[in-house]
Amino acid sequence: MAKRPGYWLALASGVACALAFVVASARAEVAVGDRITDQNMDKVKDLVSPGMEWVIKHGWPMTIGETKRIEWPKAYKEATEKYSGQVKLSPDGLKVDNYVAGLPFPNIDEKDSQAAMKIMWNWNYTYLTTDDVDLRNFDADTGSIADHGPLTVERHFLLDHFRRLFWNGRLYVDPKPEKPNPNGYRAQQGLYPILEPFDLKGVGALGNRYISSEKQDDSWLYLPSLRRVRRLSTAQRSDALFGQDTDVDSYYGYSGHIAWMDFKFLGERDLLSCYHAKNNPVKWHEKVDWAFDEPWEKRRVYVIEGVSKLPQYAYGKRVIFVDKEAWVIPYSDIYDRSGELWKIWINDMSFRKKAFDGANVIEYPDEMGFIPAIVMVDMQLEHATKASLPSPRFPGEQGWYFNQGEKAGITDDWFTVAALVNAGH
Amino acid sequence: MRWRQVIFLYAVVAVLGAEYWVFERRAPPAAETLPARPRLVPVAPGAVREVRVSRGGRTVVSRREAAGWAVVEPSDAPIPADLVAAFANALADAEEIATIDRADADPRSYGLDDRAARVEVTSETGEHVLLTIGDANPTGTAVYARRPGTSEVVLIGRNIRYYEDLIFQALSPQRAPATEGDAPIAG
Repeated sequence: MAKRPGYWLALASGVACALAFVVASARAEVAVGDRITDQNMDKVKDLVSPGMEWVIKHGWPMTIGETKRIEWPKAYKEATEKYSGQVKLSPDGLKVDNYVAGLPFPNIDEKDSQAAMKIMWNWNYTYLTTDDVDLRNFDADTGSIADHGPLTVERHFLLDHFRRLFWNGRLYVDPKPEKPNPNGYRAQQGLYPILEPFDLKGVGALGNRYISSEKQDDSWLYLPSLRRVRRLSTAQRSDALFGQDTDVDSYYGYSGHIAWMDFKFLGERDLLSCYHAKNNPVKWHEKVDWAFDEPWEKRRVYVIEGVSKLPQYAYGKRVIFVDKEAWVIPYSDIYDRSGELWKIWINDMSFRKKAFDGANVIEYPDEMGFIPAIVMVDMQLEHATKASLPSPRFPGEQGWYFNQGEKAGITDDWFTVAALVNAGH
Repeated sequence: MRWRQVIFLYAVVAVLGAEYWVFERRAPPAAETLPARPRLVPVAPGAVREVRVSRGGRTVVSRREAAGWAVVEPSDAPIPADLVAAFANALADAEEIATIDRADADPRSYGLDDRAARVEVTSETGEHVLLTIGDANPTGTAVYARRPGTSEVVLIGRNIRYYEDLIFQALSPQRAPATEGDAPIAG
């Protein structure tokens, strides 16, 4: 019996679809040890974001590493098991009720209309820092970047401290799980003093974040040259100051208040992420020296879009990737108001118990999320800021001190405007 | 003070007053503002009813319903409603960043040939807008687009292309998770 032409058409279409799938799958397959450059980046096209694709095209090297499990700190895991069952998200998604400690929403249902908000609240209460952190003696270079070449340093910054103190969700340092909190703080944060360049010596920033979504952040900037403390609006947290590319809201991948953005859940995907950096302090690539040269592993992430509710906010939208297991952000893309790709924030992360082997180096009972470096690239200006956390200029400096309380100088007094001004003198 | 000094001071005040009145009082010139960029889709963001996007022989149709955006074709496609909403918003908000080519440009040069995505936006009033979305520009921050029937190739934000990629990636068969993160309490 003669077959109808439709049969052959259907068969041909089926074969074509299967071939297309095989080709697409092969393209996305990468193996441990693969070296990815702009020459073979088609291999990872479906495993990176447009921002990451941009930096690879401009010379960022990538070595594929083995995907390793990331263990949560024991106390965080126990707190999640103990308290997450009682946590409720308000219908508008802006308030987390009955939160004590741990991850508030361990079970994410992607069909839940509040999935995006729950994922972002989980990020807000990530275990990267539960009690406090002190980042010491770190530096940053900012300047234009050459295609497949180095960063031309325009300014070099050296900073003394970046400190964060969390007031609730605490697990290690007494009082816990919440400090007596009449002001309703979620966290206090300070970045001061700047030690270099000379014209910015003494400059610093300070901020308070409240648990209540109805309260805006308090943010101050101290400028010794003017002998003035300037108060900054919440929208100004997205401004890149002093000629460099980073903004406070982009720290860690996203550091704005969860309630001030409209978040959308865009799905799940595989993404190459750098979580097991070998070098601490960071080792920058010899030629493309604004890139860290570390293994990148395939991870499953949630993709979240964030659009600010604040009309003066600098960015049109952020596309934030949140790791499904580790609840950290490997990197986030930022678009301007016309949807043009503008910036990317990239974290160089290294989960480990010690900053490095050596005498007097703190050994934590669990693996902690060290971040030996960050890079923020402005693709429109071909300009970047890279920070070494800590600076290689301080041999033996651990950089990150987690949950050390007063031993690391984390006191309530440090987070005051008076202390900010005193340190700037 | 003598009366001549008083008259002199009055005269000085009068001259200063006249100078202020004639020269200083004029309103400062209005700050120059850039003209608003034209919108790619002449439909208000809230007035988009349906978006149909086709690429590589596959088509996804999403429609705004009472409860929000939903994918109607292919039915049961594992595409989050938020993603199609974000794609529709990005299309409606898209601005023409620059006009790249006004002549009858070779569509292949801009990825606007059969590799391109075809997008059809339907408004609440039934108006249809057709678009073709092509390759990324050399700086990688934007993509080329064209409205059929016009010869102009314009640049629009890269964001639209990324969301389009996410939509078609969601249609592909699910790959195995990279990590075993699905346990209720991971870590």
